Amino acid sequence: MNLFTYIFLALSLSLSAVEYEMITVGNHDDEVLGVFVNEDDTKVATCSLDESIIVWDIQNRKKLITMKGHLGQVNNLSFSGNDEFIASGSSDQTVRIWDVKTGEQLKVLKGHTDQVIGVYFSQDDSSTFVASTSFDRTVKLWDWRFGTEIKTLRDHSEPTNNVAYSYDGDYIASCSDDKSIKIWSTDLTTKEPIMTLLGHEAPVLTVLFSFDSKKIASTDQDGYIKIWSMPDGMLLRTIKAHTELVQDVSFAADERTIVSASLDGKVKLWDSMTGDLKYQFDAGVEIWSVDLISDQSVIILGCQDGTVRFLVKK
Amino acid sequence: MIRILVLSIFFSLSAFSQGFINTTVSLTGNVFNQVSKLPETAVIKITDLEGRRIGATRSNGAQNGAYFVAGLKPGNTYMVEITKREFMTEKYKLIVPNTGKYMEISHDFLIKPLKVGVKIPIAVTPFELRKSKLRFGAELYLDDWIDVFGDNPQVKVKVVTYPDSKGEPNENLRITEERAIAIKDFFVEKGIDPSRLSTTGSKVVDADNPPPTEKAAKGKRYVGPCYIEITNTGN
Repeated sequence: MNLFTYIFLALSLSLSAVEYEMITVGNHDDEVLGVFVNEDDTKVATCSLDESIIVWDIQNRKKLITMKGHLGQVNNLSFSGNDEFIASGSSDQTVRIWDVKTGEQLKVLKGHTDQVIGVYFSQDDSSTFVASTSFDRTVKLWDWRFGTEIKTLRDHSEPTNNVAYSYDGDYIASCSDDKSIKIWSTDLTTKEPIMTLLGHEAPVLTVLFSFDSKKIASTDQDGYIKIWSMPDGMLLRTIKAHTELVQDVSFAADERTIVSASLDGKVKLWDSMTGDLKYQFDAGVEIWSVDLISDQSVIILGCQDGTVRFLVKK
Repeated sequence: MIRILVLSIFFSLSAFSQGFINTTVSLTGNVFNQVSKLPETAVIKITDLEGRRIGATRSNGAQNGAYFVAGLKPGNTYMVEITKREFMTEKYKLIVPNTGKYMEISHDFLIKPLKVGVKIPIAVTPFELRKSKLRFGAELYLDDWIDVFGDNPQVKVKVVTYPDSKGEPNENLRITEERAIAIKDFFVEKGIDPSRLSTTGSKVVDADNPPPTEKAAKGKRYVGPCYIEITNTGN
């Protein structure tokens, strides 16, 4: 056997090592744009073009509560670090804070001057701060309890797409149509970026920290995923992951496996250290958003046809 | 010994309370033209709720419209007035959070040109797709206009609305005329003199902001835009 045969066999074995079955657990009335699993892996929240947010019970695969109030599509959402609140960002230019248990809208944060695309709660137990990005090219940091903008960060030259809070609470990462990723301090006064990560050759659509805050995954409009090390910002790996834009990516708790989903309808699990494809699944529908529970036994998909689908490990 | 202890406690408390009393909050941000989105130089005046002047500054149009106001007190409420020639005067209420240490808060302002024929977009279309009844929550954006009309009593405007899609022209006209009237009725119910308001709909989509033709990242639902067009500046 030559080297290529060995590689082919190894790849086949690794691809067949895991298998998932797809279950549709419910649906929104329109495209599902955002998916976020809470800290203890019991709930997943989804948001949609239908302007609503739904919280689902992962174990029982049941809808728990629907939250309405936004005046436009809800582009993204995030659980707080203590799992008690959800932040959502919408084309109505607001960030809103919701009580997960009651579904009550606690705060409407007005300040962006274009639609809000990205939103991320601080992941510490105090759950005081929320970061947001908008097509107005800014990143804003909010103290939601006061309803106050703490600082507005301006350095992107094109609309900003998504934002992430590092799990150690030290950094915010934002990405933009200007093809860059910027890393910002979460302290309340610094307004200049700590660094700018360049390497993508298309608009960068999402950015996410690993749970240990030592890596960043980013995706772009050409279907590429890049893995960066933190805090030095070194590019570790580039993966040509999909044939269409990749709107979402997520880390598993092993800090190594990432899941990506794309408008090409495919869901893929990757080893972020080697770039190896570990598993792929054709959902047969465009996928806007993806997340997974820590042990990778359930992958949650937000789909263009309005369905919320679980890939459950067999 | 006891005297020293009492004195040290007294001085500690005194220093603490002085620090707390002297705590100030600064307001910073940028001022942009709501239509062109370009930075503007404008006068920003801060008053308390009794109208006493607290401070004033000017945004710097050459530096992306940046401004900075210091000396606000934690827990107080202020009015921020923004003025510029050939722009509408605008006032915003600013509630400063209670804090025991120095803090900066941020707020960007959009100011509206005051020139006959200028169409100022209503930030978020207050209607659902293919509907002409004001949607739940629409007052979040329309109430801002009530304040603007109050601060610029001489201004007359026309509510201009465009359809959601190319569709059937007469149906488009019917829905958009109903939408324009719904917005006017909202303003009138809130106390704006109806003689300051006219309305118009449209058979065709907004040429300056047409519906998207292809899918891009994060799908966009397009609902026909609505504008407030200046018909009389009062000058």
